[in-house]
Amino acid sequence: MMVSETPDRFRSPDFLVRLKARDEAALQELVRTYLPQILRAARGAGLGPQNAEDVCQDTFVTFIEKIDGFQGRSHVRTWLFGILYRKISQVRRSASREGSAHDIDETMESRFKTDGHWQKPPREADAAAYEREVREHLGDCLEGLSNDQRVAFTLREVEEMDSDEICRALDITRSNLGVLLFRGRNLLRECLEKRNVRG
Amino acid sequence: MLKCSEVSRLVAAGESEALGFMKRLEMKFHLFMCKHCRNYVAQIRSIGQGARDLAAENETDPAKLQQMEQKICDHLCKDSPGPQ
Repeated sequence: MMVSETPDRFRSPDFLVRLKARDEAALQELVRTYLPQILRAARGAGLGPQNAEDVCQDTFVTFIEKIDGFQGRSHVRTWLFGILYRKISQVRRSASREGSAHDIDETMESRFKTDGHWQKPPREADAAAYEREVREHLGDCLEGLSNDQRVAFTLREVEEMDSDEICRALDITRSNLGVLLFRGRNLLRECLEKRNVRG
Repeated sequence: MLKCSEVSRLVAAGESEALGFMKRLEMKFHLFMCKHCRNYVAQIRSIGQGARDLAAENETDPAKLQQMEQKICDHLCKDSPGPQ
């Protein structure tokens, strides 16, 4: 992961002091390191290229505006992703689909018999073929997730963040995150199955 | 014993890695015995891989990225009060 390559330069009190003083080199280093991740996450969360670009710029601007209140308790990356998440939520608020949450829980229940065994088990798939088909349909299926489900899924799978960091960035509990991932992943799996993605 | 419904919940919720020793063992044993759950886990993994592949396909090209970086930096430095 990116963070491990640049271990804790960004955690050092000295770096924070430079950021707070709006030191140009420090600002540039921050943007250069995190813009690619922030941009990829914004795109992954479903924003188009222009929207994603605007949201990224806003994220850094807000970061610097609020830097004086930043205590350095969490990593700057976590903080940046927290700001990004709130910006994405604002942009996508009108497009959010919360109705899917209840449906997927019921669908998943119907997948199992009362004794907890599979009712309609997942079929065995050839992994390579399945992945190829997944790539074709995943973009469309992701549209069916709520904003929070999609952000949680993207941070976990694409940015490969651990649960603690996602919870801190999104300001949610572990069990909230579990519910978001459970619903998001199963919505995707069901959507793919409906599209006959079987490998 | 863990049931299939519980295994799928733990896996999809990302809670399977945070399990205690005994539960983890139970999970391993269940997956060893149960082909359906193995298939489920494989699909969930492939969906994650698909998302990473999709992100790689949509990766912004380096020239554009550099241009954005410069724009943001200019913006930050312009709006900042400067070093005190």
